Amino acid sequence: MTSRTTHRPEPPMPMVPAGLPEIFDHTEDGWLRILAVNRPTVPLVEMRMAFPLSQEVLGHQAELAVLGESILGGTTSRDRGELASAIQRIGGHLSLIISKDRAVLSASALAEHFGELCALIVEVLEEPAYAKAVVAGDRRRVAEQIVLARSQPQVLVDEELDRRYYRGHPYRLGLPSQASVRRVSFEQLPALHSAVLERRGGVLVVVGDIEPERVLDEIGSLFGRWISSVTTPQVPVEPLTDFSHRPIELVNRSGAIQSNIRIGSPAPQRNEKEWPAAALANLAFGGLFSSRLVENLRERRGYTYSPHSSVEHLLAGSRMVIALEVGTEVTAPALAEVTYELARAALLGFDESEIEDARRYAIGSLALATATQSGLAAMLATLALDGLEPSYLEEYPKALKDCKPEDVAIAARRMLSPSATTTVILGDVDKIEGPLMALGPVSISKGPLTSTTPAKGKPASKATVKADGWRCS
Amino acid sequence: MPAILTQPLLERTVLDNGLRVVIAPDHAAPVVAVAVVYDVGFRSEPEGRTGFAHLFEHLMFQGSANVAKMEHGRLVQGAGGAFNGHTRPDLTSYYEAIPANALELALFLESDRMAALQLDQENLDNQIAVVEEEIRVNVLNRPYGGFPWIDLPGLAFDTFANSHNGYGSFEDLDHATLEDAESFYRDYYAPANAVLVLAGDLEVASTFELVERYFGGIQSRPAPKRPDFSEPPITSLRHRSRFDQHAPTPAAAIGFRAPDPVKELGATLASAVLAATLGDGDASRLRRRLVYEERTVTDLSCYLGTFSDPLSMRDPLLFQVVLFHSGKRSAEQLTQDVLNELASLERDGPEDSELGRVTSKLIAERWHEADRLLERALGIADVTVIHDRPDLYFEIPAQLSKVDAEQVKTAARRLLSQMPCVVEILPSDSQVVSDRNVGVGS
Repeated sequence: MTSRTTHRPEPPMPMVPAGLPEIFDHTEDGWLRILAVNRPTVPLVEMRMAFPLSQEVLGHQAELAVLGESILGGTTSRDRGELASAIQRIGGHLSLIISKDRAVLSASALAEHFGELCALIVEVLEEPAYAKAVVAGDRRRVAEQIVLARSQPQVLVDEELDRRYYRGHPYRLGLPSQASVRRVSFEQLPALHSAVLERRGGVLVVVGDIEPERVLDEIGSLFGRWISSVTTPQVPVEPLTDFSHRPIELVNRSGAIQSNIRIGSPAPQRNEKEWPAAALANLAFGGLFSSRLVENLRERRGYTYSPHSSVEHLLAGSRMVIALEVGTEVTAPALAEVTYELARAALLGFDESEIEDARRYAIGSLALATATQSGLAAMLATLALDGLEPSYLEEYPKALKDCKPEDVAIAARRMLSPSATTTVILGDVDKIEGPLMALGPVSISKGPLTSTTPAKGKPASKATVKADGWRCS
Repeated sequence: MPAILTQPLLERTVLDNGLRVVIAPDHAAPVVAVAVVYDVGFRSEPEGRTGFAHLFEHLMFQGSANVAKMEHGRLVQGAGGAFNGHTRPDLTSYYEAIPANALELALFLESDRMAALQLDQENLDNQIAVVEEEIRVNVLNRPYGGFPWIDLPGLAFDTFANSHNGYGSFEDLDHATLEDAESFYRDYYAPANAVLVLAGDLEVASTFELVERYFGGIQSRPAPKRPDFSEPPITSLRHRSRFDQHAPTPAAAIGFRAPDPVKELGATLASAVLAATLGDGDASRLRRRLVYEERTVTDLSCYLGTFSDPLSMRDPLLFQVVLFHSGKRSAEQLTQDVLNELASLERDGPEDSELGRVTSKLIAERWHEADRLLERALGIADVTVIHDRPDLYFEIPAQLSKVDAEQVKTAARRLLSQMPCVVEILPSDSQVVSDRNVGVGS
């Protein structure tokens, strides 16, 4: 038997992705951007059509939720089951995901059936039925799904953070109320369908075992009528402006054995020059397993299973969110540690070795994320909506390499200062309020309200600010 | 029929210490996936130590002879990679997805913890606390926590191995000792009890050399003899309900014994086709009927194996139907609805077009999985551990395409010949918290 090598290899140099794949970039009919990449790793084809949501569409949370379900509820020539059968027959999937700022039609199929996939998508885009009876069933089911979603504490605390962080902006709206969903009429959906899907600014991405020329042919011939029937451009969503600091907000969940902590702070957008340094600051703070957040809160103190921070890029602005679920009894000590780590990073920045680890991870994870057909398709669609060219995939690793510790320190000062954060905690207020008061002023809202209609612009929960521990609810 | 990709060439070898090694080259992107899968899962943990296999998985990240605590994550992510581990009834898996030039680093890390794990009391105490927080997040502080993966085996099986809660009780976790960890490591983490799979942008000969250099010197230990975990069929109807204070609406899980994936692979794949015919997508029979027509069910799924992973399991395992419903129909009535649909399939079989589209979709899903290099490496490792046949991973699409209507009828008949097990979750406003309520198995 040979003796075992216990020599530790030197950390490899970060790899810049081996050049961009060849990307066909074509603008059809003067407005629809089409990106196509031939990547024959498996005999599939992935398609993403992404559309930014306009300011006016964003207020209609209930209608959007039903639209996402009813768009696959049938066309003028097929009912839901027939449509689903046709998609299944080509080994495909088709869904419309509507998130805070965008609608993404996501589809895939066995590559040999690409033409049929396109024909089915066009049928859904051009001839959706939105039949009265179908919508009636869908809105009831959507209401039931919302009840299920809102029974999850992590969904509730995310909503509470949004409501507070995005005060005064449509992004504050969480899931719609059951009542508002049940009021959605089938007659509202065709107009909303057009507003969401038929507007300029959209992008269509195809990645898979298919030649780009064939993609352009199929789309040109099948999508032609839909592409030329573009409607009036709508108002883009207004940018985020109000980032004023607020006291810690507690939201009651009686009897909870864990507290869900969410902390938000403004981050640069991907097209800003501060972004690469901020990305590194986020990774070193809480984005890596070896980050300060995980090292302290999990591996040293055992307070939590999966603490992490991440940056969400929305069209109106970007935000870093720190998320952790901790035992009720250690809620205040855990928040104290997070605040300490934030302040330390904001004041002193990060060590070079921490920045180097973050840099290598950022570069390598980009290569991993774009190594699959679906990952590359999603990435190209996201970049296009952000107004970035595919060449970003090459430029970003270079920009990361050029980041200096001073750049990261500046980004950390802006993004990680405790004074820049908004903190929401969902938990058993009776047990956590007293200790938390030691950390600063807290405000308390009674609990997540499950039947309000925040779309009307009223605050969903009344909060009273106080620092003295006297609760007047 | 959809095109079947030419099967990629798999290279395999067995080191002198018994470690099985498979290399699956693919030069599409400059990335590599490394999977080390040990032939031990929570079925093998000792009585009084529920949750130990999973706790031990956490300990594998706490340092080894030449790797300090926290270093595993720092080195992998610092090389631009991702890592994790998971524990299943029959397997425990450790894996990295990394840029191709970090292959040697991943081999160093995996070999060091296979050769010489470092265990100490402080790290054990710390990880017990972390695992308990994990259980609070995933089971205790959320609706439907552990449903049905903890509940259903607890009802459908009688032996400790098959029926106990794989996450473990807090009492058992709190009693875990360093001696337990040392003997678990000695018994189950031998090279001869593991499979190493490397997939991606690799050169075969030099990769085998690297593997030999890092793993070849690990001391040989005998692989444990795996006990027979099989159980006799269930002969009477079993039903259990529990209250869930967090659940807003009721739910039900119906379990049947599924075929043995090793001895009856064909029947297993036919059962997978049956499950998809019943519950995969809006065209499936149960969804069309219960969700869209009768509107008694909000959401449902139908699958084989504890985590929908029949190829990573040995006998016994379950075929399960999981329904989240409004309460308009009782669990008993919904069970009857499922049995009626099964009876119709047993009598008439799937229509030709139905069978064709269901298998097309299942095959496309296999390719989706294979496109994610890490899942490909793990999938190859799973079938190597369970079936000792790495090529099987790429043979599944072709085998799925051969499943015929008769086989699906037979699969349905087999379920209908059994007494189903039904676990019911009832929403509760009461504050009652009992052992059963927290999902701790019998």
